[in-house]
Amino acid sequence: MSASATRAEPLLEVERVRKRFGGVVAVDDLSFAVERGAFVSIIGPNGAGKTSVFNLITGAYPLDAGDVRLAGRSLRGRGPSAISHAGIARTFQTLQVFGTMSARENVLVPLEARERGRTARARADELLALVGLDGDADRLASALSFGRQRLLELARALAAEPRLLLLDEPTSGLSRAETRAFVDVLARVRADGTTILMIEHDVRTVMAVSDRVIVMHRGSKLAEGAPAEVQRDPRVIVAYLGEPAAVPPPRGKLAPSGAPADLLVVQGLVARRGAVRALDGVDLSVREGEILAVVGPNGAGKSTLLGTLAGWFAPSAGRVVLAGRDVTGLPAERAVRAGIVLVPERRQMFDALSVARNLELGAYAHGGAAPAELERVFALFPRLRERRAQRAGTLSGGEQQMVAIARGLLARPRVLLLDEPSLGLAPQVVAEIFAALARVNADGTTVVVVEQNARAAFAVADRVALLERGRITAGGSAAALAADPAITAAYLG
Amino acid sequence: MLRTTRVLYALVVLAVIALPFTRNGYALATMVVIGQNALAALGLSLMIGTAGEVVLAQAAFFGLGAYAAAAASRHGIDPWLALVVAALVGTAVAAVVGWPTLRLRGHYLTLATLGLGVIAKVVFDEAGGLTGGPSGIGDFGALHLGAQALKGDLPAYVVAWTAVGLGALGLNALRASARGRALRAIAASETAAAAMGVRVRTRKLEAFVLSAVYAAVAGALYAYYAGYISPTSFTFEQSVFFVVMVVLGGAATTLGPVVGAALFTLVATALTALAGALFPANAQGAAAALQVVAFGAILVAVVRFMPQGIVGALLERFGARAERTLPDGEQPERAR
Repeated sequence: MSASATRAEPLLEVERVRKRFGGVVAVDDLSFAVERGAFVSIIGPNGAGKTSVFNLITGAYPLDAGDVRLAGRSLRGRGPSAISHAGIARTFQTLQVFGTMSARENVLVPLEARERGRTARARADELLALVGLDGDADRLASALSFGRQRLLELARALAAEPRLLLLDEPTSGLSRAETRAFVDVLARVRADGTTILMIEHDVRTVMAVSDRVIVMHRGSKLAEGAPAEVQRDPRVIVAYLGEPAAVPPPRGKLAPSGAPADLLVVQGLVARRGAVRALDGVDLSVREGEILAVVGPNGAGKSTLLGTLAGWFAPSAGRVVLAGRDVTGLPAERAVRAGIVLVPERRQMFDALSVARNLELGAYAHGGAAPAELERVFALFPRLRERRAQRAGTLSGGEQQMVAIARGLLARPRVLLLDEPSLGLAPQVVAEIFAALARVNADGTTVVVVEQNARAAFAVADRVALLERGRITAGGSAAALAADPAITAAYLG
Repeated sequence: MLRTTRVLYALVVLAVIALPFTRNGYALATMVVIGQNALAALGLSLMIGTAGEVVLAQAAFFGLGAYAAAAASRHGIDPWLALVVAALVGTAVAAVVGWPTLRLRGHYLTLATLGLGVIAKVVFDEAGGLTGGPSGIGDFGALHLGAQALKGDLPAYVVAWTAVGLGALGLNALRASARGRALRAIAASETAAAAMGVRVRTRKLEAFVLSAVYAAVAGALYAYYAGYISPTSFTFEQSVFFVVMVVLGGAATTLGPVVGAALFTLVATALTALAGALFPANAQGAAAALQVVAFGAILVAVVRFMPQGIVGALLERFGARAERTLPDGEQPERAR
């Protein structure tokens, strides 16, 4: 092969790649290429097969058919370690830092796997400085904040000296400010000549950084082109962003006549997570029949609040009263019976069980679901009726979220708590979930929802409370708070 | 190295040096056994504490080393050289068995090593020509200094604890090295380690082999000290007991397995005495039963209340709380 031919061919070629898991085709006859020095992004609705593509490129999954070539050389049949040495490094959608090791040691691992010898430590410190973690070199990786762990994964991937860097949802879970910082670092990485292929949900980031965008849908390529082109492509808009009508209409529901009773009252609630005082005196009241949204930036204590109400964590001070009954510090299994039901973050399916069994387990505390109750949740989520016999672990993220909510409803909640129901879901699915939530509420269930995606939460909530650093700092009707600069300020810092 | 760690090391080293001067024969004999157990436990801690895999075949490698040394001596090989033979046999068997087995991880790997331990016991029982079968073999000489045979407790004590010292130094050096870091990375996230270019199976195989070599040498020392070996010393229970020593003392520290071996051996001795007093008719059977029950309970209690082990807990209590990972791996951190 002549030198000029080498220069002309793309760095990465994915050719007619196919992968199936049982009956599900995750990647279906997919082809694309990434040129040297390019920044290409893959977008697409949840379950489109994006992460599977990364797992196929990096050898984590074997190919069923097709080929992946790096600089003209086939990677077929090679394992993850060999492919890493061939020049492909990656980060992970769900963080995989080496938690028991310091930040510096995390970065040393790939350097030493390449026998960098004495220069390894200096190079590790250089990379930590590049991502802005020079002050954290000796800290344990698991002790770093979520945002810093993302940066650490980036530094670690760069230490593998990649020709091609794969980033899997690198800004998911980051605040706006952290995302901006991350994008700045990416610009520096790119200036060094690294080719980047990124999966990302945050369309704003994708449009800002990419040369080219590949849109995946149901395992294959739906469209490809410059960001602006793809953005205007009507097929893409429908597949990825959903019909405009899919967004639930503003509810315009007024508070019930007369003063609504407080169903759940929280006073001065304090809870610790490890060394952190995650809840620092939370005062909150939830009215009968409303949807209350608790919003706030990452690390504000939102999940700890719900977890403490549901009995997952013990409070160290404060009081929780449900319909006049003191339920402070009840363990989880008793909190459920008292009527406080949590739909946890990341859904927590019983993956190996069918949808029907998952739902039955929701009704465990009161001896099983009555047929009428099952009918009610199937009416709310018709898709679950179709998928009754399917293993929950094989459902898409949105469907799993529906199962999680339905399972929660079958526990007969006085108040239903939802932790980040939109997490990891494409906008269309988010709209679907929130529309379902509005129907659940219309059926008479009181709902408290914690959301990072404030816009989605505001659309359905009656009232909103802003949680910052373990305290409620603002609260009021959703309409009034939507315009409150305090909300934007909380997210943008 | 942390001050707490240094103090602990100094205490152990001083105790080991001082003990012979007490002229307490019983204590000395016990310490020989502790030393031999500690060496095998040190090796095992590399798999449990560094690579994050539980191996239930350490007694098999211990026995393998014992039989290899005995057989070599009987064939006229100098006992000191026979120690090397034991190490080589341990290496060869661990490499051959480990290469296919280490495709597995977690509980599956543990179960596979359990199978290995059981098979080894069957071989020790049945390969009568080499092992003497269930009745065992003796008469294979002893370590020597010049023409002087090293018989008795004091020489065995010096040899065993010298080996423990060297083994501990080696393990510390390994943990602080690039290989050690790669192993810890594998334990933290095998997926990420492989994606970063760590050759997972090779690194694990090295750790497995080294762990087996520690056990084989310990077994050979045991053979020369006891003068007679039989399969009853290399049972599945004994493999579990090595795991108890490591977990009890602290798998991620170097001192842990040594302290664990000491505590284990002392408790086991006390239980044997207790069994003898309570059930004089069947002291041996009663002792074995008591040990299984007691160490089962201890293992559960340690895992539940002190997962970092005794030494790990001491380090955590006295000053190792800093958010740092130390070269010799005594990180106190338990996330969440």
